[in-house]
Amino acid sequence: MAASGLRPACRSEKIKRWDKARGNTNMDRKGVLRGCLGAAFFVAVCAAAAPPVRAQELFIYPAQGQNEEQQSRDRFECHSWSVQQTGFDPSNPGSQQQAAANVPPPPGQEAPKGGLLQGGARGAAVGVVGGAIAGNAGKGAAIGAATGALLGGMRRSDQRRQQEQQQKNYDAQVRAAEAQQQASAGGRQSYNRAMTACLEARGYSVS
Amino acid sequence: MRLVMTTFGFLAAIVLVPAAALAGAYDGSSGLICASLDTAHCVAEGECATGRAASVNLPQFFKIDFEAKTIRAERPDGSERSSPIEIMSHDQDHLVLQGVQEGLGWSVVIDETTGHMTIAASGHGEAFIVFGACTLD
Repeated sequence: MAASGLRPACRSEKIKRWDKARGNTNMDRKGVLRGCLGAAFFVAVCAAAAPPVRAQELFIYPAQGQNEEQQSRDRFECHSWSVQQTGFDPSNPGSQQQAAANVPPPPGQEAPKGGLLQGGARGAAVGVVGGAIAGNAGKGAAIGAATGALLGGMRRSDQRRQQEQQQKNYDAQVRAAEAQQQASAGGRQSYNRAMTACLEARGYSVS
Repeated sequence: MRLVMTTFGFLAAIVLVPAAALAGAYDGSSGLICASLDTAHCVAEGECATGRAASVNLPQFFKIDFEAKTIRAERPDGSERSSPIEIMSHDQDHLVLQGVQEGLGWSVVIDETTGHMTIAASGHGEAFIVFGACTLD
């Protein structure tokens, strides 16, 4: 992928300028190939060095013949500047994504029994209670055992509301996690724009 | 002619007497065993869910003891659940039992001819309807 992404750049005018800066205006075809391979290696190293691969979606080319040490320094300084400007650090993209991953499973997924209730989310929440109660097992049976009530022991509203509240809490967690993920994606875009501005100002070709 | 009339009367008696005897079979004179079949559970917001007896924490079968004025069911472990009958009445060939328990007001209506049963219980912003049938114990 990196090589294919670099191929157009190797044919660009900037390469010629790079060659000119090195005093090699008559570089032959083998030399161009060598340069391309070197650039591809640089991009690959950059991509491997930084943990968040997405932050390295930028293709950075040393248009002014900067050596590796200079490139590392520029890249680090631009990274620091971009983080400062955008508040987004791709090396620590977020506890937000972890938060999204940590959203617990919806209440009721562990309650397979019963299962004859209908009516969407609320029905699913109610079904938890029904499932638990089914077959005189689990919580439902415990409630019945506690009261000994027959017709009065039919499922109680406070249990239903408790299950509904759990479902609502879960929905809110999912929505919050989605919003955080969207914010994280926006931060990454800003970071990439800042990196591009910084690196281009330092004589790199960035795409 | 007399023979024909006698035969016809005899046959009519054979057909009608058991029917008459059965007409009041579920009037509360004898104990009943009832089966809960289909249930519906509705909440104040207007949503309802259907299911079986177990989905509303009701046993599949229960007995009605008219002498003890109690509806009871036995769990597999031998323990018992019961509801006392507060009011027992008859209306248009239907036996009506009513009671209150744990904040739920309930009524059991049994067709005295067919044994078809309907239970309605409500309270706490929700209502339960149970359909079933009863037979003699």
